[in-house]
Order: sequence, then C-alpha cells, then structure tokens
Amino acid sequence: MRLFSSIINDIKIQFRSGFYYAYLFVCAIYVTAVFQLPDSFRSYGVFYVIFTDPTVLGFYFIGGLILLERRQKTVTSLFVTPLRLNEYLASKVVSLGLLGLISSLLIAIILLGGNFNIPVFSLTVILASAIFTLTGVTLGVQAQNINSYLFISPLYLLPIVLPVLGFLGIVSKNLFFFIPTHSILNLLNYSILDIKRSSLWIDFSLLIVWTGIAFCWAKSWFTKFIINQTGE
Amino acid sequence: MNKIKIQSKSLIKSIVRDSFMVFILFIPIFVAVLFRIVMPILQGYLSGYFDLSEYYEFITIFILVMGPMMSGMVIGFNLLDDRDENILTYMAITPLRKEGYLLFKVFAPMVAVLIQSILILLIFNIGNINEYKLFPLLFLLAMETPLYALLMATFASNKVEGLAFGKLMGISLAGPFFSYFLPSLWRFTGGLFPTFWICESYFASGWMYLLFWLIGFVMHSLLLWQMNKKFLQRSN
Amino acid sequence: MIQVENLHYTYPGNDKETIKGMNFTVRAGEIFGFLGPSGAGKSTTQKILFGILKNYSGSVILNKIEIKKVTSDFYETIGVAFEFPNFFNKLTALENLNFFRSLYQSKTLDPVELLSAVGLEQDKDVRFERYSKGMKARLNFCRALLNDAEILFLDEPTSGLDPVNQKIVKDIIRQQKSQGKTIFLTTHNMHVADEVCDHVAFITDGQINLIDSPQKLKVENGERKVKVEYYQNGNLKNQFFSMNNLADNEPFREILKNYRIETIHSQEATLEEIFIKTTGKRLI
Ligand SMILES: Nc1ncnc2c1ncn2[C@@H]1O[C@H](COP(=O)(O)OP(=O)(O)O)[C@@H](O)[C@H]1O
Ligand SMILES: [Mg+2]
Repeated sequence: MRLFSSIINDIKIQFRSGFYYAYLFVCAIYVTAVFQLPDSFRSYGVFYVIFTDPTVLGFYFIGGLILLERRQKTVTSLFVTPLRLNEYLASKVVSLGLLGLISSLLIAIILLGGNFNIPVFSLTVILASAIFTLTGVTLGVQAQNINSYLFISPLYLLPIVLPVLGFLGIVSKNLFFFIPTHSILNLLNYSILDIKRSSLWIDFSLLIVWTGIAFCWAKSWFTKFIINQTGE
Repeated sequence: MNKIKIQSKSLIKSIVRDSFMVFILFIPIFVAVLFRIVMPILQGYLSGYFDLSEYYEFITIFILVMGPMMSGMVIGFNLLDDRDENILTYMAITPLRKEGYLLFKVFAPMVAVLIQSILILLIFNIGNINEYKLFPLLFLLAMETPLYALLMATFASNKVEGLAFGKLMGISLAGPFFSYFLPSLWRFTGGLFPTFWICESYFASGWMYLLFWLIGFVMHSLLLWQMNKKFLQRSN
Repeated sequence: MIQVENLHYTYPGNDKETIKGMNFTVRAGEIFGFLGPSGAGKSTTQKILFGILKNYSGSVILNKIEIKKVTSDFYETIGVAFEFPNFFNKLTALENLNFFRSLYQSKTLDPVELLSAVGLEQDKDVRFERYSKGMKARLNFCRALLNDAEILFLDEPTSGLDPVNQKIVKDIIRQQKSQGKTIFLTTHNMHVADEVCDHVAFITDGQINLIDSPQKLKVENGERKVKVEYYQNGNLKNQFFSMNNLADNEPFREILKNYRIETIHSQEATLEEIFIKTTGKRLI
C-alpha cells in the first residue's frame, strides 16, 4: 500500500514536471530520425536509441529528483512517516522504469512493428533502467547541484560502458562479461537484432544480481549521506 | 543580519557554481580532440559503406553547435538554483542590479563560447573547412548560449523540470540535420531551430550565404530579446 | 512519556556542540514548550526527539524505547510539523495530505476536515507552490494531525500566522490535549508558551535554564498587587493595592464605588520579563 501510493505519487510528480511530454517529443524525434536510415540499418538504429536513451533515463532524472527533494526537504518529511527507505527507493525505480519502458516500447513498436521479442526486450529495459536509476541515487545523495551531477556522471558511468568496447570489437567481447552492460547489450542484441543466444538465463541472472547489488549500494549510501547525517 | 549572512553564503555557493562553467567550456574542445583521433579510425571501419570524409564539414558544425547548448544549459541550471536561493531578488537591491547580474552571468559567457569555438576550429581542422565562411557564423553561435540559458530558466520552475526541458532543448541540435540531410524545400521546416541557419548559411554560397546569415542573426536577436524580457518578467 | 537525560549533540562537520547537556521529562497528556530565541537549539532538540538527528549522546526515551533504536513503525504513533513546511510543490494541498495519509496503517483523519479546521477548505485543490507563507504553515500543521498520533511535535506552530489563525491553531492544540495527546512544541513567542503550555523550558545556547509552569512562574515572579486606573475630576489617576484581603480593603472599595474605573490589572510578571531575568537574553 505504501509502496503503491508512493509509486503513484512519483508518477504524478514526474508527469506534472513534464517528463512524459518531454519523452513523447523525444520519441517522435528518434522515430523520425531512424526512419531516415536505410531499411537494413533500421534495427541497428533502434538498438542504438534504446541503449543510449530510455534505458539510462533513470540515471539522468534521478539526480535532479533527489537533489530537489533534498532541497525542498520532502525527503526529511517522508522519513518521519512509516515509509521505509526500501519503499522510497523502489518507488523511484518503478516510476522511472515505467517511463523508460513506455518510451522504449513506443519507439520499438513504431519502428519495428511486432518484429522483435517483446518479453525479453521489456524485461531487459526494466532491469537495465533499475540498475541505472539506483546507480544515479548513489551519486545524487552526494552531488551539490545538477551541474556537478551531470558532469561527474560520465566519469561515474565509465566502468559501465566498458563492455561497449567489446561489442565494437576493440577488445575481446567477453572480457567485461560481469559488467551489467554486457548482459544488457546481449539481451538487446537478442531481442532486437535477433542474434541467437542459447543462454538468456545467464544474462538475466546477472542483471537480477546486479539490480540487487545496486539496490543495496543505493540504500547504504542513502543512509550514509542523508539518513545518518541530518536527514536532508 | 542573519539574512545577509545567509545571502552571502548563497552568493559564494553561486560563484562556485559559476566557476564550474570554465570546466564545462573544455568539454566540447575535448570532444573535438576525441573526434580528431577517432574519426580516421572510424573511416577505416566504414570504408566499405561510405566515405566519412565527405561529412567532415558537417561534423565540425555539429560539434560547434553542441558547445553553446552545453554551456547554456549549465547557466540555465545555475539560474534555477539562484532562483531557489533568492539570489536574483537579492541582487535587485545591490549596486549591480538584476540586469547587471544577468549581463555578467548570462551574456558575458558569449565571449568565452566564441573563444571556445575558435579553439575547436583550430583543433578539429580536418577536411576542407572554410574558416572565412565559418567565422562570421560563430557570432550567431555564441548568441545561443544566453538563449538556451534563458529558455531553461524561464520555462522550467525547478531543476527537475529543467532536466525534462533540457531533453526538449536537445532537439534543437537537430537543426543542422534538417539543413544538411533533408531534400530541397522540405528542409526549411528545420528553420524553426536557430541552429538550422548556421548550417544552412555555411553550405550556401554568395548572396545566399549572406541572406541566411542575416536571417539567422535576426532570429537569434529576436529570440534573445524576447527571452530576456520574459525572464525578467518571471523573476519579478 | 519522554525522558531526556544528559543530551549532547554536535552537527556533523561542526566542531562546537549545539546541544550542551539537557535533562527534562515530558509527562503524558501535557503540553510541554521550549521557549527561547532563534538559534538556541530548539528545533535541533526536537529533531533528536523524533529520531531525525542520530549520533547524539545521552539518552532519549520515548514511550520506554531509546529513540536511536526505533523502527519505521514508531512513526505510526507520532505526528510532526517541521519549522519550515516541506511538501510536494507539484501536488495540491489535498493531494499532499492524501499521499501522506496513505503511508499510515493506523487510523487517520479526514484531510478535508483538517483543512476546514484551519480555514483552507477553499484552497484544497490549489498546488502547494501557489500557497502563501501562512497557508503553507497551516497545511504543515494539518499534516501533524493526520495520523491522530498520541504524541505531537510542533516546531513553531504559530510562526508566520496572523492573529486570527494563531488563535485557531492554539485552540486546536488545546483541543488535542483535551483528547489526551502529549504535545511537545517550540516557540520564540512568549504568548504561545503562556497560553497553551503546561510546562515551559527556557532554552538559550543549547541549554535549559529553567522548567516550570507559566502560571506558577508568573505568580512567583510578580508582585501580588493590582493596579487600578480611574478618573478623578477628569484626571486619570492610578493606585496599587495588595491582593491580600482585597475585598476588605477600604481605600480600594472607595475607588470602586466613587470613580469611573478605566482599568484593573494584576501585577504578575510576563513570561518575557521572567525569561530576560533568568537567562539574561532577549526572545527574538
Ligand atoms: N543542519 C545544520 N548543520 C549545522 N548547524 C546547524 C544545522 N541546523 C542548525 N544548525 C545550528 O544549530 C544551532 C541551533 O539551531 P536551531 O536548533 O535551528 O535553533 P532554534 O530552532 O532554536 O532557532 C544554530 O546555531 C544553527 O546555526
Ligand atoms: Mg527553530
């Protein structure tokens, strides 16, 4: 119940802050842009767009959300109610994940029709988005303002993009298999580009484990930098 | 007394935020350096498909238009923070005045952005870029910094809305794409974006170059004037 | 209900103590007030009492539990109004209250009724960002009452309010007490302390100077006299009389009988005078 109403509340605030309008527009632009590509490149276009935007939008927005809640001290007022930190974080993950999922599905369905593996695709976007949102929490609790958040984030995310080097063929593909991006790329490859894989469950298990790790990490840094300080 | 103390504390914070700007100015330059290195490698990869070097001029312009977008957004977020901390109302009662503060904070960085674009040109000097044609366009480019900053600080009421709005503003980077890739008359739909005219002008020749520069200049000036007015209205 | 012993607190990053050894007890069913100038440490103490500031030293026992050890469920049983209203800007007043309400499993009150009680029913559908300072303060007060908690913590409940709304808030505080609630409040306004508190503690510089009931303080520190102002031949005159055996005091009765009385005041001290006398500091 608490979790459910927090999620509704977060979605409401995100909607009224213009997140959904912004993404509707952004999706329209992506769709238009990818339509310009030759047909044979279209699924690569979708792959690139999904990987670089809707899956990481949680990271982009969560910093601002946390900074604003800290500044307006709504965080403090939430923690004198029975709301648990777990629920607070889960609510952020779910609400931003929903925005990511809706945008991804919109883009993929318009551009590819039903021509991709929707369940695998959706689950991948949800898990990836959760990992990025939670990673964003760990930076958001320390950042002083949006600008420093946005410009420290590339350094912060550097380890996460390492597997891309593998997929570009610059290093061995399996060198970074343990980094979640490796699994995300594998699963998007599978669901969009139809590149066969026998062991989906390994990638999914890795992502689920990473989501758990990111959750604990976010929780402990939230506690360390906010709850154990002055609650602001 | 206490109030003044809090204000000056916020002011120091605000100055720290501003000095962050200097750091931001180097990012597009860094990107240019990166492209300078990566481009020939990429060219090797793609050699079977198409000739990347044909696009060098376009890529240069694209990297250039990214600069003001970034610094404009940074200043925009700073203005939003300042609004949170009432710096602007505080400034209104100082000798510097609100207008002076805006001039210092929003319009002065135009000079920095101009220098930044020149540096990028020097570094990223591959292909057959026509510096004489591009240089007058850099002035239009510099005007985009205060434009983005004021747009953000006027249409967003806090940093979270600022992020959403920033996403929308990013679309304005599509201007050069409209200009370069869309066929014939269709491409003028991109004329809604100030960035469109920079690209359009560069690839035009003779009188058309001058005409598009002029259209760009008028558009940038009008928008800037309007946004400045709106912003001051809003912060009253 | 609340026992505080030897409480010390230093903000993280500060080198000086903000709370420098406090001892006090709040009994069940009373209104206990912290009175002191701003910066004295009232809000800080209150935040320790409801568990937002951790890493204090000493002991704070609330309902027999050390506050450091409470879990989230503890918050079902307390209501908090912070000094500065903190709500979601993008939500209306009613949406804000409904959201906070939904976080409780225990019995909650109807937000619309609470809003009506403080005169905000007309503005219940207005977004918080459009609220004026006074409206925000009243909404803040409503949230503390939302879960019908047995202990209320109110930080400067009347600050930023006009006299009419101050009275409304004070009346609600008294009414909450009559329902058996325990209330801990802070204020720098001696009238609030005087009118609603059963016990008041004088706070300066992170320390308690004195704890007593306002009534008793005023009587003990005042003179047992009345001052009568009256008109004699068109001139305003005044005279003091001892309160002892006033009914049998002939000169006093003469005045009452023969002249037009302008005012009669007993000469107890005001809380502010006592505060300055005890602490050497002003209430600002
Ligand atoms: N978050 C904080 N970090 C550091 N110092 C603080 C913080 N909050 C308050 N203080 C300091 O603690 C002292 C007491 O503040 P506070 O408890 O708010 O006083 P009061 O509520 O009595 O006005 C003040 O000197 C204030 O500057
Ligand atoms: Mg206070």
